[in-house]
Amino acid sequence: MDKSIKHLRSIDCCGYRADGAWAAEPTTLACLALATHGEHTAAERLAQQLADVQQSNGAVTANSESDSPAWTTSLAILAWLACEGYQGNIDRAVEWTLATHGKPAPRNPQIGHDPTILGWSWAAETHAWMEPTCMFVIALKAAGLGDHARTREGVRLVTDRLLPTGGSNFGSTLVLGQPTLPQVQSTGLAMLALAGETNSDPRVESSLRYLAENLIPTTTTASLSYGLLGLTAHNRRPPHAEALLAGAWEREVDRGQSAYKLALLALASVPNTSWLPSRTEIHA
Amino acid sequence: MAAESHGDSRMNAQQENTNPNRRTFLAASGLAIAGFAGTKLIGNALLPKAEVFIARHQRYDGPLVQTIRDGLAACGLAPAHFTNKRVLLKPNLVEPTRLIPHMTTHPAVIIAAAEVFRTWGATVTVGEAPGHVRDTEMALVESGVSEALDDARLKFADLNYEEVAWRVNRGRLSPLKGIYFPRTVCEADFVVSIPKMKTHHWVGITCSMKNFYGTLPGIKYGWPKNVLHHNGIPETVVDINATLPRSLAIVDGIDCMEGDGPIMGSLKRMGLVLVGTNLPAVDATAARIMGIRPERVSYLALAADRLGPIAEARITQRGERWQDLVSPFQILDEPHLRGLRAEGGELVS
Repeated sequence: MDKSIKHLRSIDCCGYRADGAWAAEPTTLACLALATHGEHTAAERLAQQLADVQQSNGAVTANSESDSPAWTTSLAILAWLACEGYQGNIDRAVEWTLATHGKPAPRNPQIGHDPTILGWSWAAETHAWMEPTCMFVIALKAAGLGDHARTREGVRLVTDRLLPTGGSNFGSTLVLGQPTLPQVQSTGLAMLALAGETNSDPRVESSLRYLAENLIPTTTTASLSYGLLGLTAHNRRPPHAEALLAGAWEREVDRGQSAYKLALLALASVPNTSWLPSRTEIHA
Repeated sequence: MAAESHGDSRMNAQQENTNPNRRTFLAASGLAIAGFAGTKLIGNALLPKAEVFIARHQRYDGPLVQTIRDGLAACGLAPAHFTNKRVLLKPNLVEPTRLIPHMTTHPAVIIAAAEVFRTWGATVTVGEAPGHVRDTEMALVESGVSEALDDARLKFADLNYEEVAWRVNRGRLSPLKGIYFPRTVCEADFVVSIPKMKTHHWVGITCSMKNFYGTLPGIKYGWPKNVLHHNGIPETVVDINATLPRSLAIVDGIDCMEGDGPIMGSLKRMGLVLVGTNLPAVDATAARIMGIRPERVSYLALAADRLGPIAEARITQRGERWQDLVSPFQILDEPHLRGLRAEGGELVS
């Protein structure tokens, strides 16, 4: 993992591939990973890149272009919270977040989830889905807004989108009466979003079990990382986590060390939730 | 215009509101894209009939390379068409799981297609933008495609996360003024749809045309690509097909999906491979084999005579006759699907 952090420290352009273009998600995750591992100068450099591309409305788009989806605003909030001197950026991003929501729809007997709950979407003017809602819930909680009505509704959405037997996917539960399939990555993110909640829904426990059963040596890097983040947040980190991470790291080194994948592994390597920033209040 | 030039990876935000005149667009984009797109729209009535090749008794461990070669030749394609060209193979890996192998394009079909084009001198890339899965690596591993690509030393392009370029919507059926495509798609000379032949619980069938939803990047359209759904599924299917570079189809109809497709349906063994250069004609033929009336499939009805023929009289069958191969697929007993049935076939819940 030291080598991963060293590599991340040296990268000025964080993308999804080793030779890929700059993108907000890899940059935010790398910033968090560097900050967590004490590399504050490098983290600040990436935080500044995010500040430089923040739109005038407070959003941070996925690839810095103004008409791109802005779900990465959530991750930018987390990255700035982990650094010093970005309160203004955080304030504007939070303001945009609270004013933005996925497009609700009337209840539909053909689908299982409740489409009336307000969450967050991938792209503007589209429906709310699991992962962007999880990311914004996590960000708002970290920013001290865990009790905000939008955060509470986001938690409600995340719970609503858990599958009947546990786990989650992109945010669909039943389609025409048929349950859909769970996926490790989104389940991990859902569990991270629901960490610390008093939630007696049995699907939370079954989702944690699903994760524990599906983190195996062949689990791919992003899914493995989010799965571990989710389990760790519920104090259910598997004993073989380090072995799984080591195997994933070797695969990524062979492939050329994408900032995105290395950052995820670096965050998943933390045996607790100390990587998550935490503020008890937010300035108006 | 920088954003329109062939291979340019940088999107110009101002393009969204720009309506370049046609001459400028042609000059900037290159004839390979604009010429074919124009042909698609100008007058399908002036085009010759479309050819669709069907092979039966096919197996994943059979001579698929020869089958595909035969199919391409039957549709008028020769090796010279692909020499020094960039060919992108686009399988269907929407939401793979090893528990449902008949959901996704079998690796054997992808590898066989790659071998054909590579021996013809093309540079081949396999690319996909899974619509329900953000972890593309997981999709590759669960589908078995990852191992197959490694063995064949084939390059994979994760179309969900590449740099994108904006293209004017050539179909103009949906409200979308333009469509963002990943760099690998924009740079391809040929984009080959390699779908699985399946029913679809919303639109009836999914085959070569709907498969091209997976050429659009999730980084712009989300997971799922809700922007497309909100702008009309059949309309955006046609628009995407109208806007892509030159395309052709190689359909994995060996192990198919019926019932609650495109994800949770049942296995139906058909042993078929379909090949064609006109995707509406290919999909219409597949629909007929499935016992579904193509003119009742919304995106095919829209594509008819815009992008190609779906009428039986305007499709020249090469290889097998579709009439000899009909085996009605189970479709869900839902109001919006009941009218699709040709004859026979079972409605299931």
